[in-house]
Amino acid sequence: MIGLTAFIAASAALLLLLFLKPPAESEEAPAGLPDRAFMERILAPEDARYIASLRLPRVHRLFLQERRRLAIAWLRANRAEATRLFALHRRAVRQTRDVSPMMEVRVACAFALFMLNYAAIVGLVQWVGPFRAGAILRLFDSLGGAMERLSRQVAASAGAPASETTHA
Amino acid sequence: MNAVLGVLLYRGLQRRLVREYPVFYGYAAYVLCSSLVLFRLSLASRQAYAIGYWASDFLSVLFGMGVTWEIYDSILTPYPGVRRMGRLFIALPVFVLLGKFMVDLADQPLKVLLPTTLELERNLRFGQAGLLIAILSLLAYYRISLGRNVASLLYGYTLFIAITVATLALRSALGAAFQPWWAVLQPLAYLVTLGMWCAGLWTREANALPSPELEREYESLSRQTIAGMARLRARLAYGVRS
Repeated sequence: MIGLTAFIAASAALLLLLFLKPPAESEEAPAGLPDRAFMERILAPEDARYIASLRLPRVHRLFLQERRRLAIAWLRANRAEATRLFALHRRAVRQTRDVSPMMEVRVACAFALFMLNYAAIVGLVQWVGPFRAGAILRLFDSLGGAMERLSRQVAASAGAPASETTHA
Repeated sequence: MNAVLGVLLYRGLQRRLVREYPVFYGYAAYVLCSSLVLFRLSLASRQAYAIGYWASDFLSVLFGMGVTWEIYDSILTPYPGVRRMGRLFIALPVFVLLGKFMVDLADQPLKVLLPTTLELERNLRFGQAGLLIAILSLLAYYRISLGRNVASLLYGYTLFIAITVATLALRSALGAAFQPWWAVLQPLAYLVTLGMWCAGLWTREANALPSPELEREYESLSRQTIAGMARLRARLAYGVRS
């Protein structure tokens, strides 16, 4: 049964690759990175505070929807830049003689890592909105910092007796 | 089908494509000749036909391996970098198949060393499918555009192999119950493939060559790409956090 599945999977993969069309070269045209200040403006807390102070639920909802759309557009522009960079690398590598498979794997992993980050952040923005997503990421940051400090303290306290023993 | 094969060979000779793809046209000539021989055998005796059928099928699979290699070679010759990666991509399915063979050999030595003709053909076609998957993945990954001739060769052969592998596996698993489907699907796949080859190889068209302006120092280019990706990743998180 496993054998049959492997054969059917191979056929399916072949047919899938057969109908896979590479994106047009024009997509590789430089899109330009959106300004980081633009995102700061989209997520400006004073705007959110002002809209909240109006106490108009419909307006507040519209505001959040709009900011979510803008935040996702900003994230997508970054993804387009990463995709362009990756495509440029692959185009350049095609003719290079001294290609290293390990380096190619590293580049592919860097792109995959970017895409994972992108998917996670876009998912978070879609799910909880850009303001809460920002708060969650800040929380993760501070938790990461606290964990790092804690592990440093643990390492220091574990290392202290050992060094004392060495000195003794 | 023989008429279509004849047309394919005639156009190949007329357009001098035979020189460019000698293995492929050799394969086409072999299929045409073997089908004529098999027709003669079918008139003589059923047993002779059966032996002749499986023998010719086995040889056509071996020829098919050569065709796959010719496609790989003609596509990737202008791309030395991709060719180098291709060797790795091709080595992987070969090692996987070799590993499976060794495991099976330890498990059931008699069955592995004396497989049925159907199983042998299925396994060889599976190997070809692995090679074609590797070639198609490389083309998609490095965005290599193909000329009309080699594209028709590759796509036609891929379609044929995909359907053959699936039908052989189902024939092997389901037995005689699948025979009526097999009798229809196999010739149909072959006819569609022949149609694709005929259309694609009707006129001679040179392969698209890569633009030479992108030759750069590989190591630094790769490091720049990795650093660029890391910067963009940090930017994503920073943008939303701000």
